[in-house]
Amino acid sequence: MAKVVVVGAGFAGHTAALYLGHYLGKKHEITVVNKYDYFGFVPSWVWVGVGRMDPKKTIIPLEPVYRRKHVNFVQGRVTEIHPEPEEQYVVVEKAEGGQARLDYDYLLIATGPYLNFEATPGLGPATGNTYSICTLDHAVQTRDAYLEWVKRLETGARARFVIGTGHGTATCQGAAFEYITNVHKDLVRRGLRDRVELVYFSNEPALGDFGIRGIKARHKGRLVSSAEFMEAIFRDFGIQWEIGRAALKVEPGRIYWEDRDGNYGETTFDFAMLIPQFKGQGLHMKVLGPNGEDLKERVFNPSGFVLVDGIYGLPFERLERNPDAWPAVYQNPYYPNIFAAGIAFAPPGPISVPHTTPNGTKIAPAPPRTGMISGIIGRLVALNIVDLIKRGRMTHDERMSEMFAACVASMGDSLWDGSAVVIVVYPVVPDFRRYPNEEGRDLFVTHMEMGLSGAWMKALIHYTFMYKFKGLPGWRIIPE
Amino acid sequence: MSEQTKAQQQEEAKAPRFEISPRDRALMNNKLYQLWRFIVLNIKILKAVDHSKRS
Repeated sequence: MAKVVVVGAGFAGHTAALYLGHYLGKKHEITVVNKYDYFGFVPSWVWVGVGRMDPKKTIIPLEPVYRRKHVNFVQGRVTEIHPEPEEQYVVVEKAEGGQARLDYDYLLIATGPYLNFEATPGLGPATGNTYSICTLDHAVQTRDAYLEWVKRLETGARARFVIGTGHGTATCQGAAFEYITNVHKDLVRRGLRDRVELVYFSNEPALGDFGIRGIKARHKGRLVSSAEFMEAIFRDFGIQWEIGRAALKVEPGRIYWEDRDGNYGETTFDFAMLIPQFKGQGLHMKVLGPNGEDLKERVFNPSGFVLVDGIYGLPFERLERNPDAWPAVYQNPYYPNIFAAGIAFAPPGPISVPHTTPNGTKIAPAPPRTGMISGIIGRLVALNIVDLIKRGRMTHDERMSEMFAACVASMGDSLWDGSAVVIVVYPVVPDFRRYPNEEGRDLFVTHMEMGLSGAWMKALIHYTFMYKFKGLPGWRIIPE
Repeated sequence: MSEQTKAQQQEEAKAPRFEISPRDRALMNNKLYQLWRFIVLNIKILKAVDHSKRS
């Protein structure tokens, strides 16, 4: 009987756990360790953040799902990994108190990001200066603060809301874009839009970069860039934008930033939601040998992300011309029974062109590995672990340079007059060998449009994915 | 910079700025047209899934 431990139950970990439970649950021992006792459907937290969705509708209690799938569940946090062949166990600090030791034959690390608010002094809900929608608690806090502002606006106040990224190398700009457009729609609905100055503040070199160096798609007979597309939307919505800026420090009502040319400046705000830099949870785990020796650098990179089968250390000019530098099976090269999925794996480098200011500050969005990408990798790794246990070899591989992704960015949740931008991108990481055009992408599949149908898509995704993540009959038919 | 890239950039500079026209705005909320786009988008995504390594 093989023992598989999955650390993390987000998009990647929970998807993997469902597949592992389905294929191995009855004969092998599958255990999931997660900080929370629920799965949170992160994409819908933009709606929670404007008070348009009940937080309870975005979560699924994990224990009942795992009971049905023959998967054990431990609520807690992995603090130590002992990866050497004679040991192979993790130490879990349990939520109820005390520690537990979990032996494994295969370990999947799918821990999601460590929200590194500390990288920007004064950033984050703990300081009270800015808000975030990266966890459910944060989204609820943001909602309360936003609705408080709505009350003041109703009494005639005016305000300046700044929404975007709070660090030069932050990622997840899509969430910030969704949040600002949802705030816009909500204020329009309440008749308060003219009282608020909305500002999108981002580290992207151009609007619509999203950490994947933007996309180009055919629209009205010509190639339109995501930058043009997003600019048109922001002009239409009356949203100002400040891009190519790294937030260096936040004080009450004021962001101190540096731009790509090395100029310093300040942006004032009354309410701000800024996404922090993401680091890996490995920063808070020990990797120890039998005699207590530190083996961390074999498993994690200095940012806490898991080293896998990518080619690391290539200069950007070589990386962007080598799609095979991106990992295919997400397996640690030193310990082949350790895998990573989702944000937890270390990418070989950025997708967007990196930039360092004359003062040495890095301003470049990090590559996104959230949502659909996380789910795809979670499934792939789970199926490879099933293969290894049943056949002794892996049969699945998919690099981000071979992966397609669909992103539906909500711009109002109403099924009657809501809207969303639908972006289909293939491949996520440009492959200039297979697609020798300027974009390195399949311009037939890569697509971008907006309209009410996008709002329907977003609602469809919410309900079908909540169904899938409950592991109800037919869940495997729904693609990640 | 190659001649071709220069020509492309000049072409792009000449291209009209992308704007959301009143017609676009009307289509974006036209229920019948959006039902058509919804079906097309679903087919497009399912086709991409079918072409991906998932299947």
